[in-house]
Amino acid sequence: MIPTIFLVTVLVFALVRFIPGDVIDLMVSEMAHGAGMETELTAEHLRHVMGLDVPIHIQYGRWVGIVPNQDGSFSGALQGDLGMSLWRYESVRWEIFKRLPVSFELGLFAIMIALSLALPIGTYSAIRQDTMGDYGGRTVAILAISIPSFWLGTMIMIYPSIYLGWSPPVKYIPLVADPLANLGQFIIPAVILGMYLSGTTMRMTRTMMLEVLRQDYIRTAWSKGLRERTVVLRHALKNALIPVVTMVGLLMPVVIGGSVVIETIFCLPGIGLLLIDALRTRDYPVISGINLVLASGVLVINLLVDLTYAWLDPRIQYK
Amino acid sequence: MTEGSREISPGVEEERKGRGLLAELFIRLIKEKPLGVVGGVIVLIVLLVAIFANFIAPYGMNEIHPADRLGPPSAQYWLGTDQIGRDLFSRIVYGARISISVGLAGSALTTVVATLIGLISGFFGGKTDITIQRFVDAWMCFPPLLIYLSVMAILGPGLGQVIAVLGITRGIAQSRIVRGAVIGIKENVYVEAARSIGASNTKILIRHILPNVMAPIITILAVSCGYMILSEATLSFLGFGVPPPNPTWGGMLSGAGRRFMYHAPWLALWPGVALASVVYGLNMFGDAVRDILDPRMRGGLGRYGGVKVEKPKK
Repeated sequence: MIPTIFLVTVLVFALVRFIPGDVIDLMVSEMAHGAGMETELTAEHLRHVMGLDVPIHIQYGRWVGIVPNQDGSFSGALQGDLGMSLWRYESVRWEIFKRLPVSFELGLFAIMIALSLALPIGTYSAIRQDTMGDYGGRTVAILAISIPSFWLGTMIMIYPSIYLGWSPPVKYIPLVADPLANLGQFIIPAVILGMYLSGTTMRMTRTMMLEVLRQDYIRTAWSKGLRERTVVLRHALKNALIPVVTMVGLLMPVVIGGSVVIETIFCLPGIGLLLIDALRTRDYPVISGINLVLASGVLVINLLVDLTYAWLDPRIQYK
Repeated sequence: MTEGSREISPGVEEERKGRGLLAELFIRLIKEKPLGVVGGVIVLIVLLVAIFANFIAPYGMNEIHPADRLGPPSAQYWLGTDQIGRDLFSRIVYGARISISVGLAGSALTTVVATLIGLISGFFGGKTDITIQRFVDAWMCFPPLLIYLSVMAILGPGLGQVIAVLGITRGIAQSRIVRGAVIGIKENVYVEAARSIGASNTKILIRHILPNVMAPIITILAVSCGYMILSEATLSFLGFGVPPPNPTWGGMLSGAGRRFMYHAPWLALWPGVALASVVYGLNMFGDAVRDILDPRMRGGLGRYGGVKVEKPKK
């Protein structure tokens, strides 16, 4: 895991250092125009402010926080300092910190809704294979995978408002101001965000349950005279879930990416909206900060997935 | 082909003699996967629409009819017009071109990248493998959309950039599949035999390993296409894909047109319908191809041949 973390930081760092020179010039003209200081701001000055005028390994060291800055202090990712926003004169750390709860709530909500639909439906599909319920479940799963989330989001913004005079709220209500309204506001975006995850998990659960249900130990469980509920939940589902957990873990980056789209459509002020703003204004410190935070988030999720295996399968032990 | 598929379908094996992998794939697709055929037909229709867009579209893609702005669907404009009076149907027809180009070129690039990395990493093993795999690990920590957006913001919008970013990023992730297959195959006796008669690494890779990992490679090609089209649409929707006034399905749902959708809801409906049906078709087709080629990933009936789950009668 250590080399992975190291390479993640290298990749984030490289991404920002690949800014072509003409972009620096463009930024100079944009910034000078915006701030009304045409004379003071030059490309050299900007390179100096961004720390681009020293050798690349020193730049990396400073950015991570293992090489001292010009003034001798250490301030890099290790110290939790991700630099300053180019436009807003606010630290990137604070910008991300402010937005994190919104994205976290949306993501958690989406995963909870997606899994609480996918696991029961997928299991039902498998134990009642080739019934109407199975076909219904599979159709829903395929639709959930094929319908683009940004299209469904757009449709939900527009069609109900024309025909029903109702539309999802676009003004963000903080959790502390009105918890119920806040949760209500998150339901539709969360369902749409979780849609893809839900469809894929449903299909995977069904496949794996079908696989497990023909094992010998399931026959043994039946012949012991156990109830169907015990056989399905205790003996089959727990074993079928191991590959499903792997897949859910692998899909987490997709969910995080999808939140960018959903936050844009529903105007939820989370990390995704911050990223889009930063990309439009070429706020590179913010972009690299978000990349680093989200990639670290994925690393943590991978770790949690590994720990879940140990719970699902007592044979797996980490020493 | 792999061992597993022989065990599962002995009947097909007899027929397969003398046929190539692709021909066999095609025959099994028609015989065993009706839904995959439906998907394939949808894809074929869209492919034809994309190729013959000039003849199908009644108007040019950026032809403006100012008098008929925001017109509802009618005999003259089948799906209505947008805020500056462009025919929506014509734009969707031309949009198929962009989507299909991204789908085909992107998945081809994915396949090439995945094959190259997978072959090298899997075949040479040792330090090469470890170094490459740590890079792939780190790369896969980033949400794909984040990579696309960040790189597109630096490269600037454009069709070529979209194809390059989507293809390379997904290729790196998919190289795992090729690597796994290569590792499984390189211990075979025939590889050792080739080496003992003095075949070079390159020759072993191309003549002995590559043909035996064709199944996962074709699978990557088949399942990537829909993903590419969806990703391009998402990028164009967010304003970082193929720039306007190009008629992309994703771009049509965003940008300047968005404000007018409350008055002209068809602007929101049809590009999405086109996109969803193509993605549906490609998903069904890709799944069918994967089910046939990869015994481990078989979903549902494909594996059990319709055998019901055993359950005692009460």
